[in-house]
Amino acid sequence: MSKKILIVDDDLDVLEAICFVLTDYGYSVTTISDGNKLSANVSDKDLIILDILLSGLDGRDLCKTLKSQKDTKKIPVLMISAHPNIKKSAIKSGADDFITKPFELDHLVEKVEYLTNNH
Amino acid sequence: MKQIGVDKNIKNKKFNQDDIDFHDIVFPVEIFDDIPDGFALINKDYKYEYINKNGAEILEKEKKDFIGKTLWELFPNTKKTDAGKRIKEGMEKRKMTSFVNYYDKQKKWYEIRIYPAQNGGIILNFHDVTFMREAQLDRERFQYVAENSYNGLSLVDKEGNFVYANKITYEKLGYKKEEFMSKNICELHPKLSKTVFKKLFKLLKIKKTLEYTVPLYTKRGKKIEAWTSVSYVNFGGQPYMFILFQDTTIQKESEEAKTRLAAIVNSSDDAIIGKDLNAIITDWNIGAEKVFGYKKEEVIGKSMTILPPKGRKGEVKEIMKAIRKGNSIDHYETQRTRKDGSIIDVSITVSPIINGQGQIVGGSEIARDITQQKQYERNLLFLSEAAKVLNSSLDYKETLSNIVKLATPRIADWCAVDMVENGKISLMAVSHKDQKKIKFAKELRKKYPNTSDKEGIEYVVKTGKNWVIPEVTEEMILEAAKDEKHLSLIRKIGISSLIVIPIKLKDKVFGTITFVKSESKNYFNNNSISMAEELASMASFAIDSSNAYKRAQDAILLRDNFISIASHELKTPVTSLKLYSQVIRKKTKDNNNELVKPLNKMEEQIDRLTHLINDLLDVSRVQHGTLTFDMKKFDLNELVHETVDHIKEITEHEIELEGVISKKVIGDRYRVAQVITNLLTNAIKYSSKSEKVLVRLTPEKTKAVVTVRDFGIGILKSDQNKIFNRFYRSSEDAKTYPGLGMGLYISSEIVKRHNGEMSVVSAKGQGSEFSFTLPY
Repeated sequence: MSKKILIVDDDLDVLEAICFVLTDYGYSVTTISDGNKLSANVSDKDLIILDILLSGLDGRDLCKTLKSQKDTKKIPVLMISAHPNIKKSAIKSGADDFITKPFELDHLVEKVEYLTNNH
Repeated sequence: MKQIGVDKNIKNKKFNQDDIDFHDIVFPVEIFDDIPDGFALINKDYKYEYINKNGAEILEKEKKDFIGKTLWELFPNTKKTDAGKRIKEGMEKRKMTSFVNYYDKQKKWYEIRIYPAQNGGIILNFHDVTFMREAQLDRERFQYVAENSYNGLSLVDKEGNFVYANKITYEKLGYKKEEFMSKNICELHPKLSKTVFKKLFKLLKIKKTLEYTVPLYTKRGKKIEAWTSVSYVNFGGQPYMFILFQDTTIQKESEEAKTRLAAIVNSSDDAIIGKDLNAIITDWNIGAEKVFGYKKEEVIGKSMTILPPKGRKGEVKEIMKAIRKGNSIDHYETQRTRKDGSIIDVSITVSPIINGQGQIVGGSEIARDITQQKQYERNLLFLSEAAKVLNSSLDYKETLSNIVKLATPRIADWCAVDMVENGKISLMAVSHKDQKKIKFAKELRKKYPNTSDKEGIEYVVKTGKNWVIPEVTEEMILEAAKDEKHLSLIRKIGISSLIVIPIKLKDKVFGTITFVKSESKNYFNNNSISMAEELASMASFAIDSSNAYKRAQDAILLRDNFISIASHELKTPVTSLKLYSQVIRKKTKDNNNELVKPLNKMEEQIDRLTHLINDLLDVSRVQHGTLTFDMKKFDLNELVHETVDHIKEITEHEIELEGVISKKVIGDRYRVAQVITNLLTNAIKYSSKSEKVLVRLTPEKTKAVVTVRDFGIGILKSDQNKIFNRFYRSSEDAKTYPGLGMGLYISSEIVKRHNGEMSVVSAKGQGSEFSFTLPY
């Protein structure tokens, strides 16, 4: 059974691109652009890819919430951002890994594979 | 009978022909006593054998005293004298000789002739030559006097031929002696013909002496002003004309010079003052009257100490000290007080006055009024300082307040700036050296505001023209005062001269600057007005540039924000673009079809785009101060090798690496790599015609130095300090090479934030060497 990935990004183009790539690699991908709907979709996921800058929300706050709740704290979170400097605070908020936009396809796939298999 | 005769056998006898006959006759010895000459016969032992009567008288003894005595016994002193030596010489050499000797008692000159005598001794003959001697001396004395006279002295005979002319005569007229003496006087003066000379001579016979003031002419035709006196004289029955002339050229010139000098002294604008050694004024020219305001009769006989203001009185003593030593003082700048009490700037030149005997008898003092010049200098200095103040800050309200302070009391006693804000005039700053007085000015403005726009600040604001009252009179003050209290306030401020200048730019009046003179008792002039105008114009520029600066700052902020947002917005499409392109690559890779090449190109361009966006983001981070660093100790050596290896993959240039840095440095590894990459890519980009880039690592005591050297186009000196500026691109660079001018700016910012330094050494066409340092 293919691994289930949830992608959260308010930029629909990026959302679509990542979805396209990861689907192509055989993952089962769900996307949401509204961070507020995160908790409703998170339950059975093997990985959450979370953009830091969401309209009106900070991805790091969402990550903290996820990591503080019993049923979701084991789901790995890969954070993405255009800012390389945010990496530190992203990890601090509980994210398992971090990747800077724009990223290499191989790089993304590598990280996704690692996170879905080792958690 | 004694015989006396001359030895005829001696050699070298040089007697006259007459003498020989004479001496052949034998005379009775008594006859010698009747001859006026003295005779004496001395044997070879210098013993007197005979002396005649006159001989004994000349030698001041009796005849009997001589016989049987030697010369040396009778005249012991003679041994040492010239006469003694000559006698001895006559005796020994046995030849005739003679000399002249003066005999004090008789006051007579005798020629003493020595003849060898038959008895082996000598005959002495004393011959009185006093008359000849006196005549010769007279001639010598006359010649000395005549030759050394400053006057021309000459004697011509009745034909006009010169019989005597002294040195001055022929030298003044430009002749050599011989040449002059051969001239006739009629050849020397154009108006003196033979006929005129004859008439003159006749006239002189009656008048004896005539005087003329006529010019003479030298051999070369140069005119000499002269006073001439001619006299009729008679020498030995012959008439002569004695001519005396005096060159008056110098005298005339010096008289003219004196007159000229007096005219200069009187017409001079400078004060020229004469004083004695006690500093008492002895001379006072018209210039001094103008400069100091005192009339000549008011100050002659007074001390120079009336002129210096308080605190400078000691200068008079110092000046007199210098004069007494014979020293001069040149252009000493100081201040003096006028009769009306106002103080003027003067430049003083003092010289000692020396009389004909070489003694210092006083001093001359030339004082030039340099008040205007000094004021001009002070104004210039003030303006340059004001410019510094205006440029020091872009807050014009603050700077104008500072200027008002700077202006008092140097330029004016009062200075104020008023600004127009929303159509209302309000006092922004006012200054006076006495802080206590400022409240009077504020009170005056508050309680008695100007209601008319026909005068004062309101007039200036309305018209944009100056408002100047050079001299505020008592009547003006009385007229302006609205009541007693108003009058008292005006008096407290004490206005004597007033200038109000608009601060305007292209007809827009921002405000006014007001200058007031009060207690300093002098008035504003055209200099002051132009200075005030200059200041106002500087102030208006300051206000204008302050506004422009604000607009520019706003624009820069807007641009930075735009860059920040735009670069972020750009990143999103690039992210998806990159992902899609890589998906395509994945799909086409195995098929090895014709899409591979364009795909490579596409990815290359996406990378370039990514790079540009990253740079833009970095620039905006530097601007916002959000560029953060992850500082750690790391191995610079390893990082440089890694980066070089990475660059090697994308370039055909050979990259040579030398040097090792063994100590670890502190920094953000990722950012330092960015700097090295930037320097390397630049080096390659700007040296397309060379094949090599050199990277050198130099460990120094406290820091590591990384140098990247290329052999490319180099950088103009004038560009070198600008290349680290944001978005700076040299004009040539812009034409040939793509880029936005961000790389070096970001790199130098990164290095700066690491407490390092970035520098460049380059010359046009010689390649460039960029270095940066990192502390250990």
